[in-house]
Amino acid sequence: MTDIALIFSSLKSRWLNSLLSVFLTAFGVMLALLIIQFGHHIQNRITTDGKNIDIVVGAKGSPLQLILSSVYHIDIPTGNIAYDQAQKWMKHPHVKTAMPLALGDNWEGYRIVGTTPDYLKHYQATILEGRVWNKDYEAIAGSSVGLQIGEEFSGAHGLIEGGHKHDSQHYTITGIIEPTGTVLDRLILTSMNSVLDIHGLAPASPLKNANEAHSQEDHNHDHDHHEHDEHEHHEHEHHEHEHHDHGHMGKPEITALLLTTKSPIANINLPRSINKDTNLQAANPALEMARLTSMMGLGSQSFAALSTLLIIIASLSIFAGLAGSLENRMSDLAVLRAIGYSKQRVFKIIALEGFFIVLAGIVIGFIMGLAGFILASHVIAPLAASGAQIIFTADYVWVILAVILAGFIAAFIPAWRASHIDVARQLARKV
Amino acid sequence: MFELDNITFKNKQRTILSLDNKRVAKGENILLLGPSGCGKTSLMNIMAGLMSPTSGDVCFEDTSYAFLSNSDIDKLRAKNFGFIFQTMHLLGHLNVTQNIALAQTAPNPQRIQTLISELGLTGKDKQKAQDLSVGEAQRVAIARAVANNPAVIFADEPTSALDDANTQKVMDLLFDQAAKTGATIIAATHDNRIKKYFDTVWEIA
Ligand SMILES: Nc1ncnc2c1ncn2[C@@H]1O[C@H](COP(=O)(O)OP(=O)(O)O)[C@@H](O)[C@H]1O
Ligand SMILES: [Mg+2]
Repeated sequence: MTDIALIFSSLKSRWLNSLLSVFLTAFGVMLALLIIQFGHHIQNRITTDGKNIDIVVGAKGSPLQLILSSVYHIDIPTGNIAYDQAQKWMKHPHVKTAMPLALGDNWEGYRIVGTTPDYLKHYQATILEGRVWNKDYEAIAGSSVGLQIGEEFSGAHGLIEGGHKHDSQHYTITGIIEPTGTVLDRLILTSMNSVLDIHGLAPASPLKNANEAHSQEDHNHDHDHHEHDEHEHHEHEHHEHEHHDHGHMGKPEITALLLTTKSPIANINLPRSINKDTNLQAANPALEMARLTSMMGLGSQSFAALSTLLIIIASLSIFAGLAGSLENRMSDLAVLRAIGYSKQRVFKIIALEGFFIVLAGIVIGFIMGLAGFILASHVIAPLAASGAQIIFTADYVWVILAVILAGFIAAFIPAWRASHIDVARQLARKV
Repeated sequence: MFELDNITFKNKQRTILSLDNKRVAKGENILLLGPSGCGKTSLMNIMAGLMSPTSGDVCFEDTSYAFLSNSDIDKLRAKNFGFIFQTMHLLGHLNVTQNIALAQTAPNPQRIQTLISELGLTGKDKQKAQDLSVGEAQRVAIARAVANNPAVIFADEPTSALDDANTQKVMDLLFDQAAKTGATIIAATHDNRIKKYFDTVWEIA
């Protein structure tokens, strides 16, 4: 009878106990893996989307909100800024490139961004099919958006799904952007003018339908979408007529300006003077994201603590499983010792029982962790939209080593006790 | 085969065992006879190297236990001794074949098959030990004791739970198996019925 067969028979005879230990270990491993995966994914997105954008200029408010909304397209803008004011900074001698962004609408949750082709160039994105817009209401779609060339659609007001539709104005898709693994994949890009026009803020072109235009003030107070919906409703019921030609008064406004600078010093000096001397806000994405990650780092630390805790609980359960069953198995082990099994062999048998539990737990935990991540990356919209992918890193090795170590510590004491039993006394036990 | 040199065994309260010099020749079947608590099991444990005497020494085949390390004694036991424990002590979660195989230092399935049929366990080989009747378990214990062809079989109260007919059967099986491999049987009992099977009886007070 091989020791392995003996171990499996013994584990099987206590299957409920063994299974519990295996799954506790698996949950610890799973959680650790999910934390690693999400952590990497977030880190990845932060670096690729924010790459080389030195300064973001927008309306006053939270700098983090400004950056999240205009660089990562995940928060609501802080407000709008006058285009002529922005232009002054676009032409600043220390500025290398400037990309204006006009936000406000979405199509099925994908943001419609009014900008210039420089925005594409910044991410070194090329058009996979078709061409870039060359007149208003032509648009190009990111690879995850799912719009086809020639498809027509109308934007809905607001930056998340379900706003009031601008039915009168239809965009036409003229091009599809190649998959870039950046935020571009889930954006719809069009000319600045299209977005401004639809909101009645276009510099020159006359408004096509004042009825459907939204006052820019609404946008500015638009942060809570529930509130917004009510507001909108309200507006349409009672103030429709008063708002008819509100748009005519609009001066061109944009949401934010993304700048790259000519020198690192400008990264510090430009924001300083913008923040001090104008009613605009300038923020440094690298700085703000470092702040955010350190904040999230705190969060992922507590996740790490949680998974460590789970791994400790799992090892305690392995310990309890082995140590608890040991009481009942003392006479079995005494028999083995009596018929010639050495202390080391008995130690090995009990330690291996713990090891197999750990091994099964790691394998199952891995499968659950990866399956869970794949599932999450399909089901959870932000993950799906941002193209969450499994990345294997050295952290995995550390998790495995930590779990094996914890399992070994858990198995050590029972194994040591088992190998040092008083054989004669155990054999004499009547019960 | 065995030389016992002034073995004594004491616990905190009293002297349990005190023997003068004793020898066991090869093939000399010995019965340790005495009332319960007189120290028979202790003496067997000492002879098998499972316990150390308080004083005195045990030699097996001219090797003194005093000069052997614990792991050497483990090896000696695995190679030379077979055991039938007082309460049988099969591993309940293992089947009959596996319980017998535990005692083999080198796997020998053929030998296990032979034992299973000789001991009337045919058809029970895959049954878990915990599901066996007392009589079947007793026979599995005998099979395990002889499975490795040991030089010595220690049998502690092999018949104390059995009626006359079964006592007869078990003793016949045991001696039959011992004869086949030339093993020496050292048994302990308080049961006078089995005296007749043994060459030598050590009366333990
Ligand atoms: N390892 C031991 N340490 C101390 N005392 C023991 C040990 N083993 C047995 N005894 C004691 O020795 C006495 C004899 O026990 P035992 O050898 O089992 O007798 P028997 O087998 O003749 O019934 C008992 O009182 C028992 O408590
Ligand atoms: Mg006894």
